Amino acid sequence: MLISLFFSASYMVEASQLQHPLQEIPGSIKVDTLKVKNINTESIRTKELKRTAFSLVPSSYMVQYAGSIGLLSTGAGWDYGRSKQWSTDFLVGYVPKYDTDRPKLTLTLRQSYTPWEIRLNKQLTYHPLRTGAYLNTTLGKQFWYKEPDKYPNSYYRFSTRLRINIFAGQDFSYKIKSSSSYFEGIKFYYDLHTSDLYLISGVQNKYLKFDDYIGLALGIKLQIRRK
Amino acid sequence: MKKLYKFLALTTFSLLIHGCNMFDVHPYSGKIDGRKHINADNMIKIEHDYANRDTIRYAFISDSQRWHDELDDFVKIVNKRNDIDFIIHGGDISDFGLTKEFLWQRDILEKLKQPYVALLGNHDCLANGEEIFEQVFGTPNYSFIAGKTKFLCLNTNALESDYSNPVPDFSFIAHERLQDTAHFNQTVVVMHARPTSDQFNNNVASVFQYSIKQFPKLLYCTNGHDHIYQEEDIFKDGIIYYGTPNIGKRQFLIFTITKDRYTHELVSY
Repeated sequence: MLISLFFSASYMVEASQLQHPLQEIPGSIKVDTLKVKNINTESIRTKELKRTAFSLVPSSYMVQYAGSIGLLSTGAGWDYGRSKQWSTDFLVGYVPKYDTDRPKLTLTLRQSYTPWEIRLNKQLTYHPLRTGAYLNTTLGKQFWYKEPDKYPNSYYRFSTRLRINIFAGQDFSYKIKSSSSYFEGIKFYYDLHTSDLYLISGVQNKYLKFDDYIGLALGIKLQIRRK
Repeated sequence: MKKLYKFLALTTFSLLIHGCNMFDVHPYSGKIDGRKHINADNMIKIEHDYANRDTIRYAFISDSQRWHDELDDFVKIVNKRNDIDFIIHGGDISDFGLTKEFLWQRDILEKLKQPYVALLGNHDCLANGEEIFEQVFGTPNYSFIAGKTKFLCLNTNALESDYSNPVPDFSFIAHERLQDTAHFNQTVVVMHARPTSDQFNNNVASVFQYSIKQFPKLLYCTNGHDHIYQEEDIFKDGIIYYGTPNIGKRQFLIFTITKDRYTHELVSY
């Protein structure tokens, strides 16, 4: 995502540098050939620009159940890479009130990597591994990035607001048969995940079992068709 | 081959669905399954079961945050003995205020054969921890009577609070002094952080000491928080503050209170 942004910016700079000096030169044979060349490169550039601009629009929408980021979360994602093996997602999660005073909202930034794909048939693809990390922040005054000033220095050496999570899971992608539908595919995924604070508790205590500190999340990702 | 993949994937997937208690909504979700309001129920049991006792013996543990294994071993050891009437936990049940931490530790303590009560520690106040503590264990200030002794359990984590919520709560202390006076003739004060500690509102330390000394025959005070064994007459007035080590040190205190005296013992396991 960041890489594509960077490229689109650098393309724009290059394109503007090329155009101006050539437009100022009056018509001559030499310049004409240059102009023809220029139109060709320009159309390529425009195409590329269009493509990069298009890549700023999300390429998928998703809904997720659980995952330490809310009961239900929804968001948008950007898939990129030669075989779309990289994906960056942004999600907003909702945590109901349960036994506390108020419900909570959370924000998540997730980076995932899907190294392999196995085609099961024309429509169905299986990804045996999706893995990565996500940062989750919980909104609300109760949660701080850094402890308030009233505490002596390094009194609590962690943040209640920011969780670092790691995950590994699998997914199945189903390609919709129609070639003109808005969504081109639907992906069902599950992730096993843990966070910094769960993991440190888990590794230090034999008493805690795998399912105490490893969680399970389920999600559906709708892939938008690219023209 | 493809069929095998399909099969493998489907089995792992269905196995995972099977373990649906693995869904974690949020580390601070406040989703509490299982027993709640434990202190209130257990205090009724203590007051009822030991009402006519001249001698009571109890274990005092504290600061078990992230020491699940050590707390579990403590429970096993105390359950083997038959001379402990009840257990007091001096606070810091959670390390990060995570909802799951409270439940993990509660489930260990629930294996105790004898009733127990827990105090609020400063770590239990982190994020929405205090809301979870109040649901699982109860209010931060409370008291109960075992035999003829009143146990005054106080929230002293002033650093975690602000002026809108008094810590220590002097009106609660004053109210408790006049409550059930016919049923007790001596007093023990239990807290997480003792006067002079970084958590205590030390501006009112001597006022605090004065107010608890108004109780009938104050025997001693006990605290956790400092993670070491302490025996100190902080105010040089004959009232000893006994600090219990964190459970991670595999140590705890046993107090025996008789009609006219008390003894304490530091136990290592």
